Amino acid sequence: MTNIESNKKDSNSLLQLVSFMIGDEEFGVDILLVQEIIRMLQVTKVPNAPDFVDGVINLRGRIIPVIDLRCKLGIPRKEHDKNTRIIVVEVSGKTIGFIVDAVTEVLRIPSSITEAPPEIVTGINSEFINAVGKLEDRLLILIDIEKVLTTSEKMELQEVEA
Amino acid sequence: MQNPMLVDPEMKEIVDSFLLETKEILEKLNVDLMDLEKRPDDLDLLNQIFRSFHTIKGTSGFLGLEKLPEVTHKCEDILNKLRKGEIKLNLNLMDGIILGYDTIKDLLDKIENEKNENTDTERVNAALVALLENIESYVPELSFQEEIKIEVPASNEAAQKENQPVKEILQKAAPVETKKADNTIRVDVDRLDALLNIASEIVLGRNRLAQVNAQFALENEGTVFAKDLADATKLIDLMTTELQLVVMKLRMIKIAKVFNRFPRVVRDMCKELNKEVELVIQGEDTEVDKNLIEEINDPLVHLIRNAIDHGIEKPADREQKGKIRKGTVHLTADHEGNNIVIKVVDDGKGIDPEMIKEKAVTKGFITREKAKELSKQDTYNLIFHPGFSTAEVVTNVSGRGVGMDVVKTNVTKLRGTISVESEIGKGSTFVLRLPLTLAIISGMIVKAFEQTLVIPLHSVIEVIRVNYDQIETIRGKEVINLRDSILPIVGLDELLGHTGNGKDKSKDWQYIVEVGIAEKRFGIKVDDLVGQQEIVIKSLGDYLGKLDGIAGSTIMGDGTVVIILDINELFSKLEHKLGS
Repeated sequence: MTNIESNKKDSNSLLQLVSFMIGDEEFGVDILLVQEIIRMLQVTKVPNAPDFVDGVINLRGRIIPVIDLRCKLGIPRKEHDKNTRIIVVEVSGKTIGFIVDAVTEVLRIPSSITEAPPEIVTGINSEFINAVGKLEDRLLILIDIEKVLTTSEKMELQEVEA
Repeated sequence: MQNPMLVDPEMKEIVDSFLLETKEILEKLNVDLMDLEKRPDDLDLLNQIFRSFHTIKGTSGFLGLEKLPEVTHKCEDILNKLRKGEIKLNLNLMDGIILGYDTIKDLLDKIENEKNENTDTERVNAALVALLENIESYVPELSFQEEIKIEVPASNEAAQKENQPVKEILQKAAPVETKKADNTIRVDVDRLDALLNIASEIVLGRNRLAQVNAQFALENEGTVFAKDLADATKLIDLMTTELQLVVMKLRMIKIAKVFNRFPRVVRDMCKELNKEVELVIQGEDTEVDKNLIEEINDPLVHLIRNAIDHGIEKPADREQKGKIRKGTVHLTADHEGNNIVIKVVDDGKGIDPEMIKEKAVTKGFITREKAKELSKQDTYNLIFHPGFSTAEVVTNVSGRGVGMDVVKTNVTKLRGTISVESEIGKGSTFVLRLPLTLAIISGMIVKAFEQTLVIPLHSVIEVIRVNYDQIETIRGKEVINLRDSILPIVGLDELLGHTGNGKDKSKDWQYIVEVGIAEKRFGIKVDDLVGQQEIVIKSLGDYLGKLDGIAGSTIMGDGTVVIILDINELFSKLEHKLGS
């Protein structure tokens, strides 16, 4: 997300984002982090894995873990439907899939229309929010995918590894 | 302090390739030096060794190193005199060259890890110079050649003669080999893994295509289209199988990479223990998976050290027993189906089963009554018990009783087996059987809690079907009575925290998979048996890392991912649970 931060200083720069829906809210993530977007695949449950890990999927021969973003953001889980997508991202060298309700579009917004998130955001864990983009007709929440795996959880994961 | 030349980012590539190249030269030099000891008059070999040192001297000088070229130069001086025939190789000189070799190796380690040359080379340099001066002032009475002749037993002479022409031919062919080396390229293992992944994906695609083709053929029998599709499918089928074979082969390397280290190990040990041992290596061209190569080194070192320390007797003792003075250790590798079989055979004193029993009883591993009932094979297996050691005197080399059980553990980890045969007075044979590759295992595919799982076949003892009323409980823990022994059984809910519908109410029986590691057994309740299959193990990825009780995952023919259980870990987990 350093991209967004450095871009912010230059108010004329454009942010290129992939936007997706979770519940009624629309989120955006830096397109450079996104490897691909795939339709929902069969997820194999992994015993003893952390709660937020939904399981693993077979991405053309590679086994990658998928995380339910609803669960991470503290929104109740929901049944997957035909709009459900997995956004495959690379976070600190590791490939991870995030399950989202739907992917809406790829869009460019000038960084001048974003601002720091308000202190209190209801419904979701505000620590993952980088900024809020004010589009003409709606708001876009820019989330920090790297922070979605918070330090404490990374530690938890490392403990599991040890 | 770091040498500025070595840490210069612009030089990084050059330094890296220097390290890689020099390491390769050293590996080869190790083999050549051991050969030289056997054939001190082989001029070609001497020249080859000289050239190796010379190359190291040249390239290290170019990098602005100081100590490395100096030591290499001193070694070169000795070798130069040797190849010109001015001096003759003897034990002292050989030791000197080997000392030089070791120092070069140390220096290289330093250069690689600390980017400096902070190793004390003064002593070595002085020793090498002194050696050369001494040699010039006196001609040794006992040259190496003579010593060899005394040691070579009559029975071996014929064998050596037979070998001689072959070796000569090989040496003549040496220039051709160098040319061949230019034909190889270095590839990162990660890239090979990626290739393997794609290859296995193609296999899945092919399976899918075959399915579609079969269906299409049924509906459109006799049409040109159906025939064309069938032909294309067949072609893809053939090529895919071939591709998979080739890709698997890419990862295979010759076991010589490990075996070549051992002549040196044997030489050093012989000096230390005052024994005379010849190491005979066979089958070094046998190919095994790269991962395996790295893992079998330690167990083999243990076995060979054991063979020399415990097996081979002192030369005087051997003569007394009417054996030839020099002991022999055979190290062989061979393919056997999907396994590689490595044998370490010594012609030493053998293992006395009674002595093992006695030791086991005094150490409290077994009772005296049980010791009487043990078969010969079971007795030998006792030496793999932790804390067992038969050496009467604890030496620097072995005898602390940590060796054999570590070997056993390592071999089991590689899904291999180890067995011992022995005859008192004649020697012992250790046989290692290892899978050719670590990437593929046979697994039993089962269903439980609406999930498909793989249990590695090597830990499955048997599968039983029991009625629910046969399951009893002891203090809340479920057990069954299996042929008069109590087998604890657990469900996957207990083992892995599965939730969901476990018990099928429509049935009044249950499958139990009995699994075991060493002497420990337990049963896992499963709902259905799907079959058994060769599977490719894949890790769960860096992000999840290693999870408790899970060995990894694999992709089934239909593209779904299934989890492979790690029975060993589940055991310790279960024991921990029962203990608390």
